[in-house]
Amino acid sequence: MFVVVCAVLAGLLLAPAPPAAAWDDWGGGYGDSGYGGGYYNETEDREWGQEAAREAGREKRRDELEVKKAADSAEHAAYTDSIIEASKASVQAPRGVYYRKPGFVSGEAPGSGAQVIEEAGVKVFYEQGIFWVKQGTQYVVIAAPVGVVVDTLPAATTKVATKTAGEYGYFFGTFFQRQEKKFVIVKPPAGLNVTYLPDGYATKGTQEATLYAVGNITFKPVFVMGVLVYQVVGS
Amino acid sequence: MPLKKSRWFVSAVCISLLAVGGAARAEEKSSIEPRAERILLAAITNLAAAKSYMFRGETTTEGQTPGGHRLEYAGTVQGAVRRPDHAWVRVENEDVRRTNWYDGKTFAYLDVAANVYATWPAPPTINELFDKLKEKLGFVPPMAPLMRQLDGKEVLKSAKSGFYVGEAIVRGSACSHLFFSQENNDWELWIDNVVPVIRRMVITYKKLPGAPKYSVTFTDWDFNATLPDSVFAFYPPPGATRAEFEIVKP
Repeated sequence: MFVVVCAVLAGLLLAPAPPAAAWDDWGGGYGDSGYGGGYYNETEDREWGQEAAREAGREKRRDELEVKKAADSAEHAAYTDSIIEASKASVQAPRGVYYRKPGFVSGEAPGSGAQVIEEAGVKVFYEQGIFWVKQGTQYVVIAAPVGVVVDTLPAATTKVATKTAGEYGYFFGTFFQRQEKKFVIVKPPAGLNVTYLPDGYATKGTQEATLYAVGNITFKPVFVMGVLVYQVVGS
Repeated sequence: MPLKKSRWFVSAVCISLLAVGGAARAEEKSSIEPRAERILLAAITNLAAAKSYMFRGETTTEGQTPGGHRLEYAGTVQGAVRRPDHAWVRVENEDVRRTNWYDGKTFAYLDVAANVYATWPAPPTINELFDKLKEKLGFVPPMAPLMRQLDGKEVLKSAKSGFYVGEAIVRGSACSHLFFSQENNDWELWIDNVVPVIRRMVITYKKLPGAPKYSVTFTDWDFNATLPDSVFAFYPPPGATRAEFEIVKP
Protein backbone atom coordinates (compact mmCIF):
# COMPACT_ATOMS: atom_id res chain seq x y z
CA MET A 1 0.00 0.00 0.00
CA PHE A 2 2.77 2.36 1.04
CA VAL A 3 4.53 1.69 -2.29
CA VAL A 4 1.36 2.54 -4.22
CA VAL A 5 0.88 5.81 -2.34
CA CYS A 6 4.52 6.79 -2.92
CA ALA A 7 4.22 5.98 -6.60
CA VAL A 8 1.14 8.14 -6.95
CA LEU A 9 2.77 11.03 -5.09
CA ALA A 10 5.91 10.71 -7.18
CA GLY A 11 3.81 10.69 -10.35
CA LEU A 12 2.06 13.87 -9.29
CA LEU A 13 5.29 15.63 -8.43
CA LEU A 14 7.11 14.58 -11.56
CA ALA A 15 4.31 15.12 -14.07
CA PRO A 16 5.00 18.02 -16.48
CA ALA A 17 3.22 21.28 -15.68
CA PRO A 18 0.31 22.16 -18.00
CA PRO A 19 1.05 24.82 -20.64
CA ALA A 20 0.61 28.27 -19.12
CA ALA A 21 -1.23 29.85 -22.10
CA ALA A 22 -3.81 27.09 -22.26
CA TRP A 23 -4.23 27.20 -18.55
CA ASP A 24 -4.97 30.92 -18.68
CA ASP A 25 -7.50 30.44 -21.46
CA TRP A 26 -9.58 28.26 -19.25
CA GLY A 27 -11.04 31.38 -17.78
CA GLY A 28 -14.29 30.40 -19.41
CA GLY A 29 -14.98 28.27 -16.41
CA TYR A 30 -14.48 24.67 -17.39
CA GLY A 31 -13.17 22.89 -14.41
CA ASP A 32 -12.72 19.63 -16.18
CA SER A 33 -11.14 20.03 -19.60
CA GLY A 34 -9.94 16.52 -19.86
CA TYR A 35 -6.36 17.73 -19.68
CA GLY A 36 -4.35 14.89 -18.36
CA GLY A 37 -0.90 16.39 -18.04
CA GLY A 38 0.33 15.64 -21.54
CA TYR A 39 3.38 17.20 -23.17
CA TYR A 40 3.27 20.69 -24.66
CA ASN A 41 2.18 20.73 -28.31
CA GLU A 42 1.88 23.88 -30.45
CA THR A 43 -1.04 22.58 -32.57
CA GLU A 44 -2.85 21.45 -29.50
CA ASP A 45 -2.27 24.87 -27.94
CA ARG A 46 -3.78 26.60 -30.96
CA GLU A 47 -6.77 24.29 -30.89
CA TRP A 48 -7.19 24.97 -27.22
CA GLY A 49 -7.10 28.68 -27.94
CA GLN A 50 -9.83 28.29 -30.57
CA GLU A 51 -11.87 26.16 -28.24
CA ALA A 52 -11.43 28.75 -25.50
CA ALA A 53 -12.73 31.43 -27.85
CA ARG A 54 -15.73 29.26 -28.72
CA GLU A 55 -16.26 28.60 -25.05
CA ALA A 56 -16.13 32.32 -24.31
CA GLY A 57 -18.92 32.75 -26.87
CA ARG A 58 -20.92 29.97 -25.29
CA GLU A 59 -20.36 31.50 -21.88
CA LYS A 60 -21.66 34.84 -23.10
CA ARG A 61 -24.79 33.18 -24.46
CA ARG A 62 -25.22 31.32 -21.16
CA ASP A 63 -24.97 34.63 -19.30
CA GLU A 64 -27.58 36.16 -21.60
CA LEU A 65 -29.86 33.19 -21.00
CA GLU A 66 -29.35 33.49 -17.25
CA VAL A 67 -30.32 37.18 -17.38
CA LYS A 68 -33.43 36.33 -19.41
CA LYS A 69 -34.25 33.47 -17.06
CA ALA A 70 -33.93 35.79 -14.05
CA ALA A 71 -36.19 38.34 -15.75
CA ASP A 72 -38.75 35.63 -16.57
CA SER A 73 -38.51 34.36 -13.03
CA ALA A 74 -39.09 37.86 -11.62
CA GLU A 75 -42.07 38.26 -13.94
CA HIS A 76 -43.42 34.90 -12.85
CA ALA A 77 -42.89 35.77 -9.17
CA ALA A 78 -44.71 39.08 -9.65
CA TYR A 79 -47.56 37.24 -11.37
CA THR A 80 -47.90 34.64 -8.59
CA ASP A 81 -47.59 37.38 -5.97
CA SER A 82 -50.46 39.23 -7.61
CA ILE A 83 -52.57 36.07 -7.53
CA ILE A 84 -51.74 35.49 -3.88
CA GLU A 85 -52.48 39.12 -3.08
CA ALA A 86 -55.80 38.89 -4.91
CA SER A 87 -56.71 35.73 -3.02
CA LYS A 88 -56.01 37.51 0.28
CA ALA A 89 -58.68 39.99 -0.65
CA SER A 90 -61.33 37.54 0.44
CA VAL A 91 -61.48 36.12 3.92
CA GLN A 92 -61.65 32.36 4.29
CA ALA A 93 -63.53 32.01 1.01
CA PRO A 94 -63.98 28.42 -0.14
CA ARG A 95 -61.50 27.23 -2.71
CA GLY A 96 -62.30 25.58 -5.98
CA VAL A 97 -65.46 27.65 -6.47
CA TYR A 98 -66.26 29.66 -9.59
CA TYR A 99 -66.66 33.30 -8.59
CA ARG A 100 -66.23 36.68 -10.22
CA LYS A 101 -66.37 39.83 -8.12
CA PRO A 102 -68.39 42.91 -9.11
CA GLY A 103 -66.49 44.96 -11.64
CA PHE A 104 -64.91 41.97 -13.36
CA VAL A 105 -65.04 42.42 -17.15
CA SER A 106 -65.15 39.61 -19.68
CA GLY A 107 -65.22 39.61 -23.46
CA GLU A 108 -67.15 36.37 -23.39
CA ALA A 109 -70.91 36.24 -23.00
CA PRO A 110 -72.39 34.22 -20.12
CA GLY A 111 -73.18 30.63 -21.06
CA SER A 112 -76.29 29.64 -22.94
CA GLY A 113 -77.77 28.36 -19.69
CA ALA A 114 -77.73 31.81 -18.11
CA GLN A 115 -81.03 33.14 -16.85
CA VAL A 116 -82.00 36.47 -18.43
CA ILE A 117 -83.69 38.91 -16.06
CA GLU A 118 -85.11 42.37 -16.82
CA GLU A 119 -84.15 44.66 -13.95
CA ALA A 120 -85.07 48.37 -14.14
CA GLY A 121 -85.08 48.16 -17.92
CA VAL A 122 -81.65 46.55 -18.03
CA LYS A 123 -81.06 43.00 -19.22
CA VAL A 124 -79.21 41.09 -16.49
CA PHE A 125 -77.67 37.66 -17.05
CA TYR A 126 -77.55 35.31 -14.06
CA GLU A 127 -75.28 32.29 -14.06
CA GLN A 128 -73.86 30.25 -11.14
CA GLY A 129 -74.48 33.01 -8.61
CA ILE A 130 -72.94 35.75 -10.77
CA PHE A 131 -74.87 38.65 -12.31
CA TRP A 132 -73.65 40.16 -15.59
CA VAL A 133 -74.74 43.14 -17.67
CA LYS A 134 -73.62 43.91 -21.19
CA GLN A 135 -71.54 47.05 -21.69
CA GLY A 136 -70.73 47.63 -25.34
CA THR A 137 -69.14 44.44 -26.55
CA GLN A 138 -68.17 43.27 -23.07
CA TYR A 139 -69.88 41.84 -20.02
CA VAL A 140 -69.42 43.25 -16.52
CA VAL A 141 -70.17 41.58 -13.18
CA ILE A 142 -72.53 43.57 -10.95
CA ALA A 143 -73.53 43.17 -7.31
CA ALA A 144 -76.56 40.95 -6.84
CA PRO A 145 -79.64 43.21 -7.13
CA VAL A 146 -81.85 42.87 -4.05
CA GLY A 147 -85.37 41.73 -4.92
CA VAL A 148 -84.43 39.86 -8.08
CA VAL A 149 -85.78 36.32 -8.33
CA VAL A 150 -83.56 33.55 -9.70
CA ASP A 151 -84.36 29.99 -10.68
CA THR A 152 -81.40 28.23 -9.13
CA LEU A 153 -78.81 28.57 -6.39
CA PRO A 154 -75.10 28.31 -7.17
CA ALA A 155 -73.67 24.91 -6.28
CA ALA A 156 -71.46 26.25 -3.48
CA THR A 157 -74.31 28.00 -1.65
CA THR A 158 -74.00 27.67 2.12
CA LYS A 159 -77.08 27.33 4.30
CA VAL A 160 -77.14 29.89 7.08
CA ALA A 161 -79.86 30.51 9.64
CA THR A 162 -80.85 32.23 12.82
CA LYS A 163 -83.33 30.92 15.35
CA THR A 164 -85.73 33.76 14.65
CA ALA A 165 -85.18 34.74 11.02
CA GLY A 166 -85.18 31.30 9.41
CA GLU A 167 -82.95 29.86 6.72
CA TYR A 168 -81.02 31.64 3.98
CA GLY A 169 -78.62 30.68 1.24
CA TYR A 170 -75.26 32.47 1.18
CA PHE A 171 -72.86 32.79 -1.72
CA PHE A 172 -70.01 35.30 -1.75
CA GLY A 173 -71.84 38.18 -0.08
CA THR A 174 -75.22 37.42 -1.64
CA PHE A 175 -78.14 36.16 0.44
CA PHE A 176 -80.96 34.13 -1.07
CA GLN A 177 -84.30 33.24 0.44
CA ARG A 178 -86.58 30.55 -0.92
CA GLN A 179 -89.71 31.87 -2.65
CA GLU A 180 -91.83 28.89 -3.59
CA LYS A 181 -89.68 27.03 -6.13
CA LYS A 182 -87.41 29.98 -6.80
CA PHE A 183 -85.04 32.16 -4.80
CA VAL A 184 -85.11 35.88 -4.13
CA ILE A 185 -82.07 38.05 -3.37
CA VAL A 186 -82.60 39.62 0.04
CA LYS A 187 -80.98 41.85 2.62
CA PRO A 188 -79.85 39.59 5.47
CA PRO A 189 -81.19 40.03 8.99
CA ALA A 190 -78.83 41.03 11.80
CA GLY A 191 -77.36 38.08 13.66
CA LEU A 192 -76.84 35.85 10.62
CA ASN A 193 -73.38 34.24 10.60
CA VAL A 194 -71.35 33.43 7.50
CA THR A 195 -67.99 31.70 7.41
CA TYR A 196 -66.33 33.86 4.76
CA LEU A 197 -66.40 37.25 3.10
CA PRO A 198 -65.92 37.74 -0.62
CA ASP A 199 -63.20 39.58 -2.44
CA GLY A 200 -63.79 43.33 -2.38
CA TYR A 201 -64.90 43.74 1.23
CA ALA A 202 -63.91 46.93 3.07
CA THR A 203 -62.88 47.32 6.71
CA LYS A 204 -63.98 50.12 8.98
CA GLY A 205 -63.85 50.98 12.65
CA THR A 206 -60.82 50.33 14.84
CA GLN A 207 -58.73 47.24 15.50
CA GLU A 208 -60.58 46.87 18.77
CA ALA A 209 -63.93 46.99 16.98
CA THR A 210 -63.40 46.19 13.34
CA LEU A 211 -66.35 45.93 11.00
CA TYR A 212 -66.37 44.58 7.45
CA ALA A 213 -68.56 45.98 4.70
CA VAL A 214 -69.65 44.05 1.62
CA GLY A 215 -71.77 46.41 -0.43
CA ASN A 216 -74.39 47.67 2.01
CA ILE A 217 -74.03 44.75 4.39
CA THR A 218 -71.92 45.17 7.52
CA PHE A 219 -70.36 42.27 9.44
CA LYS A 220 -68.40 41.88 12.66
CA PRO A 221 -65.98 39.04 13.45
CA VAL A 222 -67.15 36.55 16.09
CA PHE A 223 -65.81 33.18 17.26
CA VAL A 224 -68.70 30.74 17.41
CA MET A 225 -67.78 27.41 18.98
CA GLY A 226 -64.16 28.11 18.11
CA VAL A 227 -64.79 28.93 14.48
CA LEU A 228 -64.34 32.44 13.11
CA VAL A 229 -67.52 33.71 11.49
CA TYR A 230 -68.73 37.06 10.25
CA GLN A 231 -71.99 38.15 11.82
CA VAL A 232 -74.36 40.51 10.04
CA VAL A 233 -74.84 43.66 12.06
CA GLY A 234 -76.67 45.75 9.46
CA SER A 235 -77.79 45.84 5.85
CA MET B 1 -70.55 18.72 2.77
CA PRO B 2 -69.03 22.17 2.34
CA LEU B 3 -65.28 22.44 2.37
CA LYS B 4 -65.35 24.48 5.56
CA LYS B 5 -66.90 21.59 7.35
CA SER B 6 -63.42 20.23 7.78
CA ARG B 7 -62.68 23.14 10.12
CA TRP B 8 -64.92 21.48 12.62
CA PHE B 9 -63.00 18.25 12.58
CA VAL B 10 -60.13 19.50 14.70
CA SER B 11 -62.52 20.86 17.29
CA ALA B 12 -64.49 17.67 17.06
CA VAL B 13 -61.36 15.68 17.82
CA CYS B 14 -61.09 17.42 21.13
CA ILE B 15 -64.74 17.05 21.90
CA SER B 16 -64.73 13.39 21.06
CA LEU B 17 -61.65 12.62 23.08
CA LEU B 18 -62.95 14.76 25.87
CA ALA B 19 -65.96 12.54 25.93
CA VAL B 20 -63.61 9.60 26.23
CA GLY B 21 -62.12 11.46 29.13
CA GLY B 22 -65.24 10.91 31.10
CA ALA B 23 -67.58 13.72 30.07
CA ALA B 24 -70.23 11.33 28.82
CA ARG B 25 -71.41 7.97 29.99
CA ALA B 26 -72.34 5.22 27.61
CA GLU B 27 -75.78 3.80 28.18
CA GLU B 28 -74.85 0.41 26.80
CA LYS B 29 -72.56 -1.92 28.64
CA SER B 30 -69.08 -1.57 27.21
CA SER B 31 -66.96 -4.42 25.95
CA ILE B 32 -63.33 -3.48 26.34
CA GLU B 33 -60.59 -6.01 26.02
CA PRO B 34 -58.52 -5.86 29.26
CA ARG B 35 -55.24 -5.73 27.36
CA ALA B 36 -56.40 -2.65 25.40
CA GLU B 37 -57.65 -1.00 28.58
CA ARG B 38 -54.40 -1.66 30.43
CA ILE B 39 -52.24 -0.18 27.67
CA LEU B 40 -54.43 2.90 27.27
CA LEU B 41 -54.55 3.56 31.02
CA ALA B 42 -50.75 3.33 31.22
CA ALA B 43 -50.48 6.07 28.60
CA ILE B 44 -53.04 8.25 30.36
CA THR B 45 -51.39 7.78 33.75
CA ASN B 46 -48.00 8.62 32.28
CA LEU B 47 -49.34 11.83 30.77
CA ALA B 48 -51.27 12.82 33.89
CA ALA B 49 -48.08 12.51 35.97
CA ALA B 50 -46.09 14.86 33.74
CA LYS B 51 -45.66 18.37 35.09
CA SER B 52 -44.18 20.17 32.12
CA TYR B 53 -44.06 18.83 28.57
CA MET B 54 -44.30 19.58 24.88
CA PHE B 55 -45.53 17.58 21.93
CA ARG B 56 -45.48 17.96 18.20
CA GLY B 57 -47.30 16.01 15.52
CA GLU B 58 -48.18 15.82 11.87
CA THR B 59 -51.85 15.74 11.04
CA THR B 60 -54.15 14.85 8.19
CA THR B 61 -57.72 16.07 7.99
CA GLU B 62 -60.16 14.75 5.43
CA GLY B 63 -62.45 17.24 3.74
CA GLN B 64 -64.73 17.54 0.79
CA THR B 65 -65.18 20.26 -1.84
CA PRO B 66 -68.61 21.70 -2.62
CA GLY B 67 -68.44 19.57 -5.76
CA GLY B 68 -68.08 16.42 -3.68
CA HIS B 69 -64.40 15.76 -4.28
CA ARG B 70 -62.66 14.27 -1.27
CA LEU B 71 -59.48 16.00 -0.16
CA GLU B 72 -56.91 15.49 2.54
CA TYR B 73 -55.30 18.44 4.29
CA ALA B 74 -51.84 17.97 5.74
CA GLY B 75 -50.85 19.94 8.82
CA THR B 76 -49.07 20.10 12.13
CA VAL B 77 -50.01 20.40 15.77
CA GLN B 78 -47.81 21.59 18.64
CA GLY B 79 -48.60 21.85 22.30
CA ALA B 80 -46.95 22.88 25.56
CA VAL B 81 -48.23 22.26 29.07
CA ARG B 82 -47.05 23.44 32.47
CA ARG B 83 -49.36 22.06 35.08
CA PRO B 84 -51.62 23.07 36.56
CA ASP B 85 -52.33 26.39 34.93
CA HIS B 86 -50.42 27.02 31.70
CA ALA B 87 -51.13 25.62 28.24
CA TRP B 88 -50.40 26.51 24.65
CA VAL B 89 -51.40 24.77 21.45
CA ARG B 90 -51.13 25.57 17.76
CA VAL B 91 -52.71 23.82 14.79
CA GLU B 92 -51.82 24.56 11.22
CA ASN B 93 -53.07 22.94 8.08
CA GLU B 94 -54.20 24.03 4.65
CA ASP B 95 -57.58 24.98 6.02
CA VAL B 96 -57.02 26.12 9.60
CA ARG B 97 -54.27 28.04 11.39
CA ARG B 98 -55.06 28.70 15.04
CA THR B 99 -53.11 29.25 18.24
CA ASN B 100 -54.38 29.09 21.84
CA TRP B 101 -52.71 30.57 24.93
CA TYR B 102 -53.61 30.08 28.58
CA ASP B 103 -51.62 31.61 31.45
CA GLY B 104 -53.84 30.80 34.41
CA LYS B 105 -55.80 34.05 34.05
CA THR B 106 -56.66 34.60 30.40
CA PHE B 107 -57.48 32.33 27.49
CA ALA B 108 -56.51 33.80 24.12
CA TYR B 109 -57.49 32.42 20.75
CA LEU B 110 -56.00 33.58 17.46
CA ASP B 111 -57.11 32.71 13.95
CA VAL B 112 -53.72 33.20 12.34
CA ALA B 113 -54.91 33.18 8.73
CA ALA B 114 -57.47 35.92 9.30
CA ASN B 115 -55.35 37.62 12.02
CA VAL B 116 -58.38 37.84 14.28
CA TYR B 117 -58.26 37.04 17.99
CA ALA B 118 -60.42 36.94 21.08
CA THR B 119 -59.65 36.69 24.80
CA TRP B 120 -61.65 35.33 27.69
CA PRO B 121 -61.17 35.56 31.48
CA ALA B 122 -60.20 32.02 32.40
CA PRO B 123 -60.53 29.75 35.45
CA PRO B 124 -57.38 28.94 37.47
CA THR B 125 -56.53 25.44 36.17
CA ILE B 126 -56.30 23.70 32.80
CA ASN B 127 -59.00 21.17 33.70
CA GLU B 128 -61.40 23.89 34.82
CA LEU B 129 -60.56 25.94 31.74
CA PHE B 130 -61.50 23.14 29.37
CA ASP B 131 -64.68 22.37 31.30
CA LYS B 132 -65.75 26.03 31.22
CA LEU B 133 -64.77 26.52 27.59
CA LYS B 134 -66.93 23.60 26.56
CA GLU B 135 -69.81 24.75 28.71
CA LYS B 136 -69.72 28.48 27.94
CA LEU B 137 -68.14 28.75 24.48
CA GLY B 138 -68.99 25.35 23.05
CA PHE B 139 -65.50 24.18 22.19
CA VAL B 140 -62.16 23.14 23.61
CA PRO B 141 -58.72 23.67 22.04
CA PRO B 142 -57.25 20.94 19.87
CA MET B 143 -55.58 18.11 21.74
CA ALA B 144 -57.29 19.12 24.99
CA PRO B 145 -57.29 15.54 26.29
CA LEU B 146 -53.52 15.48 26.00
CA MET B 147 -53.27 18.60 28.15
CA ARG B 148 -55.77 18.01 30.91
CA GLN B 149 -55.13 15.71 33.85
CA LEU B 150 -57.39 12.77 33.17
CA ASP B 151 -58.59 10.26 35.69
CA GLY B 152 -57.85 6.86 34.23
CA LYS B 153 -60.92 5.29 35.82
CA GLU B 154 -63.24 7.68 34.00
CA VAL B 155 -61.58 7.50 30.64
CA LEU B 156 -63.22 4.51 29.04
CA LYS B 157 -66.76 4.98 30.24
CA SER B 158 -67.99 6.39 26.95
CA ALA B 159 -66.40 3.66 24.85
CA LYS B 160 -68.77 0.95 23.69
CA SER B 161 -66.07 -1.43 22.68
CA GLY B 162 -62.33 -1.64 22.41
CA PHE B 163 -59.67 -4.15 21.58
CA TYR B 164 -55.99 -4.70 20.98
CA VAL B 165 -55.42 -4.80 17.21
CA GLY B 166 -51.77 -5.90 17.15
CA GLU B 167 -48.18 -4.79 17.04
CA ALA B 168 -47.06 -1.96 14.77
CA ILE B 169 -44.07 0.25 14.08
CA VAL B 170 -44.70 4.00 14.12
CA ARG B 171 -41.75 6.22 13.18
CA GLY B 172 -39.41 3.45 14.24
CA SER B 173 -41.04 2.78 17.61
CA ALA B 174 -42.66 -0.54 18.45
CA CYS B 175 -46.26 0.21 19.38
CA SER B 176 -49.47 -1.46 20.41
CA HIS B 177 -52.32 -0.66 18.05
CA LEU B 178 -55.63 -0.18 19.88
CA PHE B 179 -59.18 0.40 18.64
CA PHE B 180 -62.07 1.93 20.55
CA SER B 181 -65.60 2.68 19.43
CA GLN B 182 -67.87 5.40 20.75
CA GLU B 183 -71.36 6.34 19.64
CA ASN B 184 -70.23 9.03 17.20
CA ASN B 185 -66.57 8.24 16.63
CA ASP B 186 -64.16 5.39 16.30
CA TRP B 187 -60.61 6.00 17.36
CA GLU B 188 -57.40 4.15 17.02
CA LEU B 189 -54.27 4.68 19.07
CA TRP B 190 -50.72 3.48 18.66
CA ILE B 191 -49.03 3.46 22.07
CA ASP B 192 -45.30 3.04 22.46
CA ASN B 193 -44.31 -0.29 24.01
CA VAL B 194 -41.26 1.16 25.82
CA VAL B 195 -42.47 4.51 27.13
CA PRO B 196 -46.27 4.59 27.27
CA VAL B 197 -46.90 7.62 25.05
CA ILE B 198 -49.26 7.98 22.11
CA ARG B 199 -47.31 7.80 18.88
CA ARG B 200 -50.27 8.06 16.54
CA MET B 201 -54.03 8.35 16.62
CA VAL B 202 -56.83 8.31 14.07
CA ILE B 203 -60.38 9.49 14.71
CA THR B 204 -63.18 8.42 12.34
CA TYR B 205 -66.27 10.62 12.49
CA LYS B 206 -68.63 7.87 11.51
CA LYS B 207 -71.81 9.94 11.82
CA LEU B 208 -70.61 12.69 9.47
CA PRO B 209 -71.15 12.36 5.70
CA GLY B 210 -68.35 10.33 4.20
CA ALA B 211 -67.10 9.30 7.68
CA PRO B 212 -64.05 11.59 7.47
CA LYS B 213 -60.89 10.85 9.42
CA TYR B 214 -58.49 13.01 11.38
CA SER B 215 -55.05 11.63 12.16
CA VAL B 216 -52.05 12.74 14.19
CA THR B 217 -48.65 11.13 14.09
CA PHE B 218 -46.64 12.46 17.00
CA THR B 219 -43.10 13.31 16.03
CA ASP B 220 -41.90 14.61 19.41
CA TRP B 221 -42.72 14.23 23.07
CA ASP B 222 -40.52 16.19 25.49
CA PHE B 223 -41.19 15.51 29.15
CA ASN B 224 -38.19 17.53 30.31
CA ALA B 225 -39.25 20.75 28.66
CA THR B 226 -38.34 24.06 30.28
CA LEU B 227 -41.30 26.28 29.60
CA PRO B 228 -40.99 29.92 30.71
CA ASP B 229 -44.01 32.18 31.16
CA SER B 230 -43.33 33.77 27.78
CA VAL B 231 -44.47 30.58 26.03
CA PHE B 232 -47.94 31.07 27.43
CA ALA B 233 -48.21 34.86 27.17
CA PHE B 234 -50.38 36.25 24.40
CA TYR B 235 -49.56 39.45 22.59
CA PRO B 236 -51.80 40.40 19.67
CA PRO B 237 -49.85 40.31 16.39
CA PRO B 238 -49.42 43.58 14.49
CA GLY B 239 -52.61 44.57 12.74
CA ALA B 240 -54.70 41.89 14.45
CA THR B 241 -58.42 42.46 14.76
CA ARG B 242 -60.16 41.82 18.04
CA ALA B 243 -63.32 39.71 17.94
CA GLU B 244 -65.71 38.35 20.52
CA PHE B 245 -66.52 34.82 21.59
CA GLU B 246 -70.16 33.96 21.23
CA ILE B 247 -71.38 32.64 24.56
CA VAL B 248 -73.39 29.50 23.90
CA LYS B 249 -74.54 29.21 27.50
CA PRO B 250 -74.62 32.41 29.59
